[in-house]
Parts: sequence; structure tokens; C-alpha cells
Amino acid sequence: MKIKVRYFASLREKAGKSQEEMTIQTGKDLSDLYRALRLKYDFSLAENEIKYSVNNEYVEPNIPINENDVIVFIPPVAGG
Amino acid sequence: MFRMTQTPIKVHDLFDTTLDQVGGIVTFEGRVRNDNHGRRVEKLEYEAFPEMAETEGNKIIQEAMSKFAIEGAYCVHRTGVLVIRDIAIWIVVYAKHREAAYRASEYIIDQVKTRVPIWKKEYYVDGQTDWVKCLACAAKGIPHHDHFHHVK
Repeated sequence: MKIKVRYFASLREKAGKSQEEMTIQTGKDLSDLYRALRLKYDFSLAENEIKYSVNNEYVEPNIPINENDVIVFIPPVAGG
Repeated sequence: MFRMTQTPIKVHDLFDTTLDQVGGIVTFEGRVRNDNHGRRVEKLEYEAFPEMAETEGNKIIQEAMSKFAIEGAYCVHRTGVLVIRDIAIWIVVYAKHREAAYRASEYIIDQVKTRVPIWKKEYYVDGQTDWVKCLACAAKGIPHHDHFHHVK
């Protein structure tokens, strides 16, 4: 199924892009996807350092991914 | 209301002067300083996930309205490149009495620092750069795995 991943901050710099569309296997959750992309792009942030967003809402890492989801991995924030 | 802006924050244009019932107004102005943990800072770059930042920021404002006896609250956060003394964030809280306004202002800044998807890249005088992790959490001893402690 097709999904979109958006990258911000340190992850955007490491990935070398702001977003990409990709096709993944059904049944994968967000942790699975982050692990795969961490290997691909050599992200330095560990799984327990990031949070997950699907369609602009914070979600838990173990939720299944659905067709056309827009996924963002949230590095530690630093506003203010 | 919470909003993001790419242009300089002009504080004096942002006050609501229509609130006759308000007796206390508390503002918080967060500025870019020239030092972070002993490293000389030249400038900052703020990056946001804009759609979600505004959604999450407005949730925080609504929470403050519910938790404290205030009449209104507004917060604006800059993105882009900021230099020393630029205003990064500005908060105003209106209340009948000052105590609620002080408490709500602190609640808003604490929550923004830990929840709103905004990132800060520091450019140091020595030419190095670094993406800053949540200093508010670090200062309060909150580990990064608890970063978004509101998520259930």
C-alpha cells in the first residue's frame, strides 16, 4: 500500500528530502517503518527518542499503518 | 489562539484592548540569547511541522482556558532564522486577577516546549551547528521517552 512520509529537522537533513511516497507491506506498524528508514538513512535518533504522528495527530508507535497515511517521525522538540 | 509566523513578532500590535473585565495581563517574551550551556550562539533556526504545531498549540491554549480562571490567552511562535535578541515566542494571558494569569502563562510555555512540533538549530560562533533537544524536559529531569507525556 502507498503512504507518504514527511521529514523535519535532523531527520530531514539526514534523509536529504522533506517527504517521499513509498509502498510498504500491509501489517507493518510505525516502529517497523522507523527501524527500516533508520537503517536506510542512518538516523541517529533511537526509537525511544522520537514520537509518531499520523495524519497530523500524535499516535502510539504500535498502531498499524493504513493506505494513504501521512506519517511524521517527531524528533525531540525544542520550541520556545 | 496559537499561531506560527515567519515574520518578526510585533508585540504592541498583539494586545487585545477590548477586554473590560480584565484586571491583570501577564506576558512572556522568549528571546534568542547569545549563549547556550557555555557555547556562544550566533543565530538560531526554528523549523516547524506547521499543520500540527498550530493544532497542538491551540489545544494548549484551550487547556489553559479550562484549567485557570483566565479571560483569554494568545501565543505566537516564530520560525526561520532568528538572530540574538529576536523574539522567538510571545505569550499574553488576560485574567481578572494576576495569580491565574501567571500560572496560565507558565503552563502555556512549559507545554509548548514539550509538545509542539518545533525544532531549533543553533549556529555557534565557532561555525558548528546542533539541533537542540528539549531543554525544558532536561531541566526538569524528564527523559526523552516521556517527551510527549500527554499521549495516551
